[in-house]
Amino acid sequence: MSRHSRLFLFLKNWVFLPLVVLCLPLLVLLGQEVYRDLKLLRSADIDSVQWTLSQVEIEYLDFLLTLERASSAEDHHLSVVRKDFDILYSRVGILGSGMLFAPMREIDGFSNAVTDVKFFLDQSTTAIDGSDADLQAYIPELQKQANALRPQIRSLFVQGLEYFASQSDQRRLSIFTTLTELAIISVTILIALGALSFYSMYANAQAQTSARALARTNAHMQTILSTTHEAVIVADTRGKIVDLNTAAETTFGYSLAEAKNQSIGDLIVPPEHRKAHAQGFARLVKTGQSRLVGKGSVHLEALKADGTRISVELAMQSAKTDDGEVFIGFLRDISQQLEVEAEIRAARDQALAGEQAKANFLAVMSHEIRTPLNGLLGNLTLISKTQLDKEQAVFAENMEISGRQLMHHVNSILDIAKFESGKATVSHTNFHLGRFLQDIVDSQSGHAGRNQTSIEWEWLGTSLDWVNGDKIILEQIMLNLVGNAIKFTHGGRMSIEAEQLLPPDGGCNVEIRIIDSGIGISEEDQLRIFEDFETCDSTYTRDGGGTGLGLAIVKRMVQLLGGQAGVESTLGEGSVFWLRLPFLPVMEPDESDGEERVKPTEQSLSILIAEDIETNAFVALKLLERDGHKVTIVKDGLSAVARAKVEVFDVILMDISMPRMDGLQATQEIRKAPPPFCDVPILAFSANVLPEETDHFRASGMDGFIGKPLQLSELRRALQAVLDNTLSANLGEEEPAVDDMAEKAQDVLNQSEYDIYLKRFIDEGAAFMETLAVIPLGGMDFTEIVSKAHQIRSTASLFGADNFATSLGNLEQEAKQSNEAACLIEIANLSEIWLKTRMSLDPNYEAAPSAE
Amino acid sequence: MKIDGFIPFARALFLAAIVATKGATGMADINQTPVLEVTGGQSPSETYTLSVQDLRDIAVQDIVTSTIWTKGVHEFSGVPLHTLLQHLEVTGTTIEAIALNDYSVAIPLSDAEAGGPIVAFAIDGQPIPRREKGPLWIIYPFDQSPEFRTETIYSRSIWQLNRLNIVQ
Repeated sequence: MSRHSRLFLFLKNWVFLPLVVLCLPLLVLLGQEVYRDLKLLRSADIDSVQWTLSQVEIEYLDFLLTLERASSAEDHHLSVVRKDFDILYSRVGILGSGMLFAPMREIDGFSNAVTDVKFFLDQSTTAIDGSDADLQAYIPELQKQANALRPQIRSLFVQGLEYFASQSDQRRLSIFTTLTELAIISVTILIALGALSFYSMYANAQAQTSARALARTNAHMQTILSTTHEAVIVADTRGKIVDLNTAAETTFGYSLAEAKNQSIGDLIVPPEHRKAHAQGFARLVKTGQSRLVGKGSVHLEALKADGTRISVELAMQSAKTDDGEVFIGFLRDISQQLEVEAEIRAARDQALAGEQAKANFLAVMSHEIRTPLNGLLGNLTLISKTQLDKEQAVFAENMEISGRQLMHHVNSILDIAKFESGKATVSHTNFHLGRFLQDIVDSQSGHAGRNQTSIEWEWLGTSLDWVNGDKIILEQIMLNLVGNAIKFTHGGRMSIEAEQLLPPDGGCNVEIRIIDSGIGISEEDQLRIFEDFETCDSTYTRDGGGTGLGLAIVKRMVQLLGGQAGVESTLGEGSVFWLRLPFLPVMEPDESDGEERVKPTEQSLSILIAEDIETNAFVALKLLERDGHKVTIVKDGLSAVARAKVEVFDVILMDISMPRMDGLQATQEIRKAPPPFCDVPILAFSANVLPEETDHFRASGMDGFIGKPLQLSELRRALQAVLDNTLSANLGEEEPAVDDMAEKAQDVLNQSEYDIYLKRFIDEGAAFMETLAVIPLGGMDFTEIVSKAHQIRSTASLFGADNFATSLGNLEQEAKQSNEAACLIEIANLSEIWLKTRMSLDPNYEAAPSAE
Repeated sequence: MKIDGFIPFARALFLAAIVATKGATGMADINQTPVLEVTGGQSPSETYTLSVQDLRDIAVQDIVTSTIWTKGVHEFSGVPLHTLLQHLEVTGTTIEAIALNDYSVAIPLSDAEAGGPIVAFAIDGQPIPRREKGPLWIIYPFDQSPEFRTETIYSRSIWQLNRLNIVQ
């Protein structure tokens, strides 16, 4: 039953109580009154009074009679006279002083009559008590006087009777009134009691209904509590256990009988937590505040009866009962759950560690294998150029073939690792698709020719010329597929077909097919050749010498570009590998603009170059001097500031990363100088071309940006902007440097200068690569790698070592993010490129024939 | 009220005078004068005649009480009725008590018990004159219990008593 309706019933039950309470004292009062009246009736002295009054008259008359007789002179009558006088005297005495007549004596008539009679009697006593003779003589006088009292005696009687009659009336009236009131009150109480009992019955019925409902609820609760797996413990405010359910008995190993009235702390709280538990409980009872009550669940350690410990999840609630506040704890044994969670966590950590180990292993392995392998191949090449007999030459060639295959396998594994680690990225450029395919065909035709296979390409339908896409990845894909086709086609025909997909298929608008008339692939094999490490059969493998990774890498690269790849083939007739790729069609670039050489500025400028790397500085110096400018070089930021404060330059080219003070700080210092020194235009001179970096330059007070490696056209354009005062608009908006436009040291320096700087570059590069080759990361921290890679990269471009520069840039980026595995992969890549770079740059190295 | 107050005072003086004049010669006489006649009982023919002294010799008990016939509280001295009857060895069911004026009332013998009425012969230590409802007066302990303050008991409380007749 709800609280509301209970309150309602309570009011109904007790609304009659005040009535009864009011009536009861009235009833008691009236009862007393009735009792008193009845008692008065019972002990009424009215009869006695009436009797006395009537006796007064009788005894008076007796006395008169006796006097009559005495007057006839008979002696013996004198004693009777005396007796009757005494009797009358006694009687009147009662009227005069008896309590019975006290109220009547208040009436004047009565009182006077009594006084008169009394006066007569008292006067007569002398005669009465005198001698017989005297009395005898006095009799006539007594007779006369007594007779004279007749009206008073009459009046006594009449007035007394009247008084008592009115008294009786009053008393009757009073009794009547009392009884009437009693009746009214009794009836009222009866009605009230009747109503009360009616409501009692009603309330009783209600109470029974609610009791039944309560019993049902209790039964439900009991069922729930006894069947739930959650342990429920009820404790009172002293922390003593009041109740616990079956699950609690099972969980903790105590029966209800054992646990009842035991302290919850002593029973299930581990000894070392008992103090904290007691304090917490005391605070809870005192302030009603707890970290636990009504705050969701917490994890705790609990003790079982046998002393073992379990982990429990505890939720607490408090409730008010008739016996005071109780605290209900819901506990769940989560030991097993925690164990399972820990196992899963361990398994996950293991798996993650395994993944990391795999990536690290692949990176380290390829690095460790490729570096010595490169050495091996290089030396093999040197050997084959020496005087060998025919047999030795064959051995050397076989060794070289095997070595190259091994290198190819390692590179493939490295590629897979790169894709797996998610490090592969797409970089879009605009290119001419037709020219691209022509280049592929041109580069592979010699290769195909050796297998007596012809190779050609064509557009089917409308051609798509200029597109935006990742040319480098596409090249890798095409070389892989075309290479495969050449391998398996002897004395046949190969063609590459390109076709626009109209409408596009899932974003892909171009399909490229590589068709050969080779040995073909069986249908079962077609299903698995794109899987990792899958090759068709042993002969095929031997013949092709594949790792089984080529197509797997192709598949990953195609996916990276957002395209699809597939194969259709008939055994013995040939195969068609198809690619569907998305290419964004773009406008043909205005080539004439690129072709046109920017002319040097007509005015000669005084230019300060702040650059710590001597080669870079020297190349820049030469370029600018050739255009007729006056150039000053300083090697760090601090010197630049010192110089800029004493000499007014037309423009400053400021490298960013320099020792002692970097370019940004130096710019800020120069801007603090007094005019005109502070107003000099400052151009950032950096290889960092990312938008956020150029924003950074501008924030530091720089006016423009010139990329590294240095391009003459860009440099001339920037200097023209300085003269035209239009610099600020150009910052960071220049297209990044295109490699083949970069100025080469060869073009700027004379032979002896070139040789000096080239040697310096090669020595630096070799030293760096040697360090990296010895131990992973060369024992350097990432910051060192970043700075070293950056330094070497900026000069690499000057000597046309563009791939090396790119790879160094990648290494720099990975090292900035402290990504060890990616660094190791890049280092492996770098060492291979370095080998080629060095061979192509070093005349002595060049003397040894190239490995490629 | 002055008159009320004066008269008892005058009377008291008067009575005192009588007692004083008679006291020396008649005190013994008064006590010896037969005042009570007891008849009936086991031998109907036998009659006891008792003086105040006779009664005093049997036993004396005091009852201090007010009465409806008197003013204020008084000490009544007399022989307990039941002792009197025991002494006279009379048995019966009812006592017929008769006064000088021939007023008579029936007192059940059951009234005659310890703590019950006395046959009083003195008030406040003085013999009760006939003129003041003496010489004998049956006095119940009225003040002691409401049981004694009923009309019936008042009617049994007979004054100027001079005869007791025991009815079988």
